[in-house]
Amino acid sequence: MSSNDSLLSPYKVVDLSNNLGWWLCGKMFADMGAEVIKVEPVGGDPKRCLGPFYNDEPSPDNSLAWWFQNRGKKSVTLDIETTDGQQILFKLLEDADVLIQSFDPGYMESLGLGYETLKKQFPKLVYTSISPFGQTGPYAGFKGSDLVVDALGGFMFIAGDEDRAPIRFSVPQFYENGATESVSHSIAAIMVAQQTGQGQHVDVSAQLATIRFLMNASPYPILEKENLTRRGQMFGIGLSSYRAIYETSDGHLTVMFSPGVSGGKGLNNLRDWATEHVEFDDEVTKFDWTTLQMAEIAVDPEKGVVLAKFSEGLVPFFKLFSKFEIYEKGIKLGAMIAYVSTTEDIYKDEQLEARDYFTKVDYGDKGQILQAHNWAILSETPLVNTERAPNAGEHNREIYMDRLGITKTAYSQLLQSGVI
Amino acid sequence: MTNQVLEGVKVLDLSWVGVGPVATRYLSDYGATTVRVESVKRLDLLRMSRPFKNSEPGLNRSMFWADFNASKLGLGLDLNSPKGQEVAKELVKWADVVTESFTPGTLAKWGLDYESNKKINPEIIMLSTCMQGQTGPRSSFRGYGNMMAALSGFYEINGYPDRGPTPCYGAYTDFTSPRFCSAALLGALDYKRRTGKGQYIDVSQYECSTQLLGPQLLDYAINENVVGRNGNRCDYAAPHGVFPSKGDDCWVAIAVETDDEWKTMRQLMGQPDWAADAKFDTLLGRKANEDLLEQNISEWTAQYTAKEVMFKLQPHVASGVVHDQAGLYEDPQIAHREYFQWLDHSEMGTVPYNGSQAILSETPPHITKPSPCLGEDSRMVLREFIGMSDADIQSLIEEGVVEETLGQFSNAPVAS
Repeated sequence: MSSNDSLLSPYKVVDLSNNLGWWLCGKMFADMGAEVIKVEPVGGDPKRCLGPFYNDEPSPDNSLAWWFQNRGKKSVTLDIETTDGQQILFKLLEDADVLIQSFDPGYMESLGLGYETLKKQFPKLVYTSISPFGQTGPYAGFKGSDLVVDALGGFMFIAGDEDRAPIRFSVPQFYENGATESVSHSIAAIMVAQQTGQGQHVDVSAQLATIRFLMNASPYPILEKENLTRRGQMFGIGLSSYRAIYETSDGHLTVMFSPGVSGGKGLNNLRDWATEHVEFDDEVTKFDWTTLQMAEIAVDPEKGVVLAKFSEGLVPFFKLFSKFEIYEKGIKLGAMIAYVSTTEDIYKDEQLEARDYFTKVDYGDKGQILQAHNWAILSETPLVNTERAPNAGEHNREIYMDRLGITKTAYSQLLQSGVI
Repeated sequence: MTNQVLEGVKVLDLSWVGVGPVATRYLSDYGATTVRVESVKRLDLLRMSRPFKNSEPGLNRSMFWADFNASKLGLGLDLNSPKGQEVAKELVKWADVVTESFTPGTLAKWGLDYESNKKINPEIIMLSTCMQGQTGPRSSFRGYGNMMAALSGFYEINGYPDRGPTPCYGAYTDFTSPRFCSAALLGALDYKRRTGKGQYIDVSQYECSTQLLGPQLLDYAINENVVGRNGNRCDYAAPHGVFPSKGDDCWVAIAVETDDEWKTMRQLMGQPDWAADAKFDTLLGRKANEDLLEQNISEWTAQYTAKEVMFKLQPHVASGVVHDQAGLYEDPQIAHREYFQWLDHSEMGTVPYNGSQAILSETPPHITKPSPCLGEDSRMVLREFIGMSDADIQSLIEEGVVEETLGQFSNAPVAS
């Protein structure tokens, strides 16, 4: 492969990330053509225990979380707590442009592998640290978790039903978001290193990556002296609210009500369609949605009453049809409707198929499996259709013996003493 | 500040609402000179969306808009008018990068699509981002990020097994997507540095956001399992949830992942009698008795503030205050990172922007200027970047092709 086939083809990454979510940073580097060597502890990354699993059979080689987030990487096993192990790591770093790590802040430093130490030996190295709260500060020593990052990131507070606790997503997201955030910053640092020969520390906080999801909520206390709260199934427009989620004959959908000059026509059309099947209050039947502005509803709950009646009136209507049917009709009517997808819906989506979003990955005797992949389409440097995620230490021989020139004898000694 | 990574890089930001402007801000915060184009005739929805300074609505008083457009210059330009399109083309010649987020086909109407732009600036890097991508049967799907959050699978996995899907706040995919956009943009900039070649980047918000459900999509592909909702619980950890603490609507999150952490938590709770019951000693036992476990823990947490619980349990057990928005400003870790950046806006005065989620030790990204009023920099941009005379600019303003609004604190425009 020529060194300019892909966005990041000249670059080499040594990936020490150690948990679900953090793995995603190195995976994106691999997608963009960098060589990524995943360094796992001897015996394999302990988080290979995380599901879901191939054929629902738990085993370190069957973790679908691992399969997805480590696709395209090579794997070596290494005990970086030993001196021999560190010597090998240094050999890998000689050639590396980026090191990614996600250990508890202080751990790498305790091994003499912190940024300040390594930069002396590897001045060009970009050292990317991803962690729940950041490398320094009063919470740097806190124990992290997807749930706790969501909570301390302020996003959890504004989701959930009013009669129950605030909620997080039922699938981990917040380490993932920290990891995806780390990519552009690491590339920025590579660009500087290429110009100046100097690397730097890239310190990313998943807590801060979470705050970004608040969208417009974070300035409310300062600008409007208010805290937004969770509204369950309802969608708030200032002092008014309407139903956001509706049951259909086969699932659920969401409607975005945006009255006014552009969105109002679609709402009129939706109302007209619905009145063929259900009855609304007179007020709703006669209302012209192009005449009402969002800004009015936000400040005057009286104006929001007809909207609330309309949205509640749609509840029995949507149950009569399937979510796809309503979605397609919504497009024709100019109404803003999206169905609530399940993973099955996404996997079978004709739009994603038309765009070759899923690509086939060869898992040997486990089959050829379609995997979500092409997250961008680039005209000169398409994303690489990478190989499957590696088994633990799958590339030990290739990298240690063939590339680093470790002799067969030394390899055997290192293996048997638990260094690799 | 010196040593900005993208100093000298020129960006024409034709995008609007969420994903495009947020993605572009990554370049702007790294020092790229960015011109954000808007028009009162086709107003960015966010300009009229809350929160407003002092709750007073106004074109230049929305922090929703302002937050996504820090570090940018503001040009008011009517892209629907032929003269506006000519001005835009001059800016395409000027630019290194163009970003946009219109429904596919819109820019082609105006002669500002990639193929047209390539003719006048062959190595332009252009990023288009929209809901479902530039191609395919659904490419014309119009919508907002909260709808995309539903379509991308995030509502389905939010909520309880005994209730239907629940929305998350806002537009989740509006903030997952910019991370992929900015990775592609930075990659393309480096590729251009190495080879001299620009390119076109098509990012579908549906596609990049579903990367965050990759394992679950594999679970369907292989096992035909459809992932559902589990409240705040976790298959492999207990206790794992959100518990009431002292105060109105105050909560604390706790996640215990190992039996050792459970023993420690038990100790930190003061060894209550109920916790000594051997059925709670193991994960399997705690999972089998999870309702009772959570009820008992709730009675404990309710005696303390969320902060007190967090500090009792950390750093041995993962726990955290469920911050409301005010709490974010009191959080000492967020303050330590200087995440909220307070800048003087020319209409709103001093307001807090979302800053950077990353610190780089030598060349950190940071906001370079407050966000602009609509067209606040029109005269300067047209004069300095494409060499228009003041007289020509003035006549375009009078024709309504170029727009300019200023804030109450703006400096008066200076003729050259």
